[in-house]
Amino acid sequence: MLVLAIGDFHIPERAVDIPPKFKKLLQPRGKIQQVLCVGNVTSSPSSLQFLKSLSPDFQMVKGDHDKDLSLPLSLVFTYDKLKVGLIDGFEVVPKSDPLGLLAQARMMDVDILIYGSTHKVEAYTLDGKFFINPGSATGAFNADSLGKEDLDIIESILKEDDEADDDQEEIEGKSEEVDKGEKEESGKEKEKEKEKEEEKDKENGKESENGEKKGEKDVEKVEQKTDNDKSDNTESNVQPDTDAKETTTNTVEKTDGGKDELVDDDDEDDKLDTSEIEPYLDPIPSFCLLDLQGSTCTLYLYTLIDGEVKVDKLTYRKEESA
Amino acid sequence: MSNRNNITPGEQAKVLDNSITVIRQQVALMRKCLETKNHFMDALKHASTFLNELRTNSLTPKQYYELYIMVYEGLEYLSQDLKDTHPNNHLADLYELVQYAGNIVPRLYLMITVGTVYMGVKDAPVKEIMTDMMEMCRGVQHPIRGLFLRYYLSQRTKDLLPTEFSDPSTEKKDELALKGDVSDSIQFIITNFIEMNKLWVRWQHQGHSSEHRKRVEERKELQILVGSNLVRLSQLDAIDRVYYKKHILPLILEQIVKCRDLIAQEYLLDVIIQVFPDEFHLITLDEFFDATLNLDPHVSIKSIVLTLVDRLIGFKKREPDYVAKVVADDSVDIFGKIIGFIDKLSQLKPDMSATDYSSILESISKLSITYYPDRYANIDSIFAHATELFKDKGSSPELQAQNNWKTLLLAPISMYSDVRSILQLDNHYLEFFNLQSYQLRRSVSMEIVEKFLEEEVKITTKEELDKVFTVVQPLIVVPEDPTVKALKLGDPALNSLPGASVADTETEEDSKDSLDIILQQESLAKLLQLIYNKNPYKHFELLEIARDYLQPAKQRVKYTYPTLVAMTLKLVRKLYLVKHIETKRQKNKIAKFFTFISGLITVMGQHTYNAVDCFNLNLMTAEIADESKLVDISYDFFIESLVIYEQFFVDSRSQYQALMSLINKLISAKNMIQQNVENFDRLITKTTLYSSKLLRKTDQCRAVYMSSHLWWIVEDVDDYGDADESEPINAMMSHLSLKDDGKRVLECLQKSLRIADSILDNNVSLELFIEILNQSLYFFIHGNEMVSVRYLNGLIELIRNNFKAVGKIEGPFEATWKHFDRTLKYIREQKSIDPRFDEVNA
Repeated sequence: MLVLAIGDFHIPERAVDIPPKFKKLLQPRGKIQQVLCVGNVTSSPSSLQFLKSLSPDFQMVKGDHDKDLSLPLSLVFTYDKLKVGLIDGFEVVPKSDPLGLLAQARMMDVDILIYGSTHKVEAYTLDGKFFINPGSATGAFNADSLGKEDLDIIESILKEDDEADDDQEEIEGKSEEVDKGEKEESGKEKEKEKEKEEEKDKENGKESENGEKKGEKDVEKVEQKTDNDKSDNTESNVQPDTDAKETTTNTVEKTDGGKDELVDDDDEDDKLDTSEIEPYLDPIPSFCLLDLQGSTCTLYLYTLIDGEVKVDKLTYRKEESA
Repeated sequence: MSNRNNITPGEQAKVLDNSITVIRQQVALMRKCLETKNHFMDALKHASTFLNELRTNSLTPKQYYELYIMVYEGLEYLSQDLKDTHPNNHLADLYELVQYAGNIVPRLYLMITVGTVYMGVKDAPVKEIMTDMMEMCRGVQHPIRGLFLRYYLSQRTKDLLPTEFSDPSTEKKDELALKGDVSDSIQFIITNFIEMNKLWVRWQHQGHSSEHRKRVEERKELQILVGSNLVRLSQLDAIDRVYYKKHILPLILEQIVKCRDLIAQEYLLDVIIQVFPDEFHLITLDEFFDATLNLDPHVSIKSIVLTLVDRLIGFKKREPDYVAKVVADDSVDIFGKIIGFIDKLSQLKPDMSATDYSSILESISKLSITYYPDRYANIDSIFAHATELFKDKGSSPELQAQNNWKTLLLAPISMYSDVRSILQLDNHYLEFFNLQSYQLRRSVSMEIVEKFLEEEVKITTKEELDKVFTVVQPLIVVPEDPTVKALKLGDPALNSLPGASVADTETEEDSKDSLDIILQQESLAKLLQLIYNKNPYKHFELLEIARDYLQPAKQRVKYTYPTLVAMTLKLVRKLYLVKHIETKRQKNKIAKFFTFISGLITVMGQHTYNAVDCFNLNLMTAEIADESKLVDISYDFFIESLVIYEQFFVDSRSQYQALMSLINKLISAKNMIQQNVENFDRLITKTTLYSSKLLRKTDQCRAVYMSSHLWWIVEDVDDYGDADESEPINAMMSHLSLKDDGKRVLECLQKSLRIADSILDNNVSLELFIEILNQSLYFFIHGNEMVSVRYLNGLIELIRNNFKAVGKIEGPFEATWKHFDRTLKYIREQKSIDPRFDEVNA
């Protein structure tokens, strides 16, 4: 069973369209058997139409910006041995909090919980349950605060600019390795579980299931593309939250003093150019494909990074209860 | 001789069969004679016999062509034999000899066959033979027979005509007189062309007038015979464009004009355009257009001009360098010539249909954009013509329907490689645009927007923005639909139903706009997102201008203003990130951004059905203001959303959902908590109060236990890099506590318990108990000491007792019990990683 998890379009308030490269991947009446939409798609009739064209089985929950009150807030589907829950996520308090989501999953009695609302693509295992946020397919602006990684990148870009402005000034910088993945108290547990899953995944790599094969082809295709474009890759390569590899970023400690007291006048304002940080302000466009077989869910996370589609694969296997 | 007019198709078929048999037999006999020595004269006799079949008058042109092909093949044997076996002098004699054949058609075919073999011989008097054959062909004046005979002449001489210009310095004069050069060939072909054309035209006038249509069809079948002469001319490599302009085209055009025949004129001009090289056309536009103005009044000048223009546009694609050179050195003023032609056209052909005229204008604007992409004045003058034309004839309803004006208006849009070029079009383009009906303007506006979106063109200056809004104006101000108005007036009760919920009003108001209007407003909202400037302050100024343009849309701003709000918030975020919200002056400046947003939301809020949108936009703004450390502004926007909640949210579902959004946004207002906790407390107290006032008890219970989170807020902080991975996870280590009012948390939980307990349905209150237990676990894990082991145990006990009271767990209780069971299992699992759980009785 191939299921598409997608949502948070916010067309036309915050985004113009789904990226063309996503549209190419998402063909009407393709292999997708069901579409699960986390909401915030209803203000654009054409986008809704597009989603409905992907599969005759289209299901959606109400997002905080959808005005149709007749839409359900949550839905549960059973596929063979797996139960999947679908919510927008705005009604989980605190929003996207792992413990809050866990309580939600317990209440809905699901193994996999698909939620949206934050526009941050991620997937992790916690307490034997699988949590998936397909992110925003359009990469729509979100008022929720930016992620640490993006802030770090923006910080370093601005820093570089400052350095370029004034070579004379020495900046006392101390590099510090910051583990991006671990933010919540449960972060480590999450990370570990994820790694475990990945190891299992590798072990089971030789198992060839129909759906998996198809998915892998997609991955290969996309990855080849990125390879060809390596010359374009700059140091500003953003990794999504879900990137399996543990990436480290160098952050330069903020220096205090002089810098902030820039010439404060309108001329300075007129010269301001924020185009450099532009690419890091909006969420990464993303969506997910779930291949559900028995008690296994193979998840493909599609992200659009630097104009290229990247696919990450994760496998979740439901623990058989004794 | 039988007359074709009184013959039935059946009889024609018989005649054809008969002729085919004769030709087949005679060709065979001729070949036998050719293979036998000294039977050449007999061979000629057989040839003469089968050639006689071409004298028929009874066949259609197609049938005649069938015979011609057989005859041609037969004569090919003869020609080959002559080449192989006959010495030169003999051929001269033979050429004379065949002239004695009895009938003119066989005689001339034989003459051409021998003559063309003779031409191929060394030192033959080529020029003399050419002249002679051409003269002799005049003897056949029947259109079909004459056309085929001359076609035979053309085919036979194909590779034998001189192809080079003579060089007077090296060649002797008498030799030139004998052999001729390419100019003789040209004259030969043109003469043949003129004669064939005359015959072809004459065929139209043969027979009864009732057969006019049949004649037209037959002529179309024959046209290729005439056209082949022009093809032949175009294949002469020695001709250059100057020679063509001076010596060839005038003669051809003269014949075309003079023949005064519709079919001939349309067909032959088309052939000229197709067969001669592009660069020839470029320098002969004057001649070509002059001829075009002097044609039969029924000739479609439109098709001729369109064909020529297509060819020239194609030339630019085929030979971009050549065309670029021509355009650069301005040796040919292509556009000037064309517009001159248009001027003459409108003077000389006042009756030309407006459809044709506008198609011509359309194709010419495409040509101009292809050749002179930067000369916007060209397009302007084309649209000056269009405006004149429209004022003259535009109101005819037949034309409106044909959408011709639309394609004319869209021509520049489809042709410019950069859609921004259309912003350069001024005066007449816009004048013409504004003359059109609303429907048409609207659809053109939509196309322009789509094009902008497709090319992701950024609109970066005020000038560009002004222009864009001029062309999308029809999307903003939509004329009232009279039917909708009538409907509303007819049922005034519809709007003032007492107790109409937000949702009901919403859908009712929404349905007022047709899908068409929603789509067009959606495009407009998308277009706004193309507004961009790398400088956030300048970007903001553009957004203000956009707002001014959108204002007249009245209630439809609900589709576009949310986009402006989101874009402005993004600018605020940017300015905050680059540390431009720090000094007092900067803060004053950013305040304008929020005033702008507040104005947008207020305008939207004048219509109650926008309440949900306004509520959400206020929350978003509050969130970004807080992120930017503008906590007082954030407070104002939170207050605004609370006001909207109080005034407009009447449906219990929308109330509950709004509270969930509000609670989450408040939790994320980290700066307000730290910088103005009094304000923050006011907000969360109010929110908690709203929660406890929800109508349905289940909603009330859930909202209250969710409100507990407002009193216990933690912020994620980075894990310390050197933390030992094997260390047991301590919740407090990775979280910074921003608000830890454990008592208020407990109060909320207790209150929600009481609400749950007061619900009569046992199962519902049990389910809520379990949910409260789960919430309590959250606070327990996060170290809220008011939510103690004792508290948890009490709650678990309470739930157990309630289940006991229920007795047998069945029906709806089963699912509730399972939820409880899952919760207990979770607690047991926690024991292994968190010792604090040890004492919990799960």
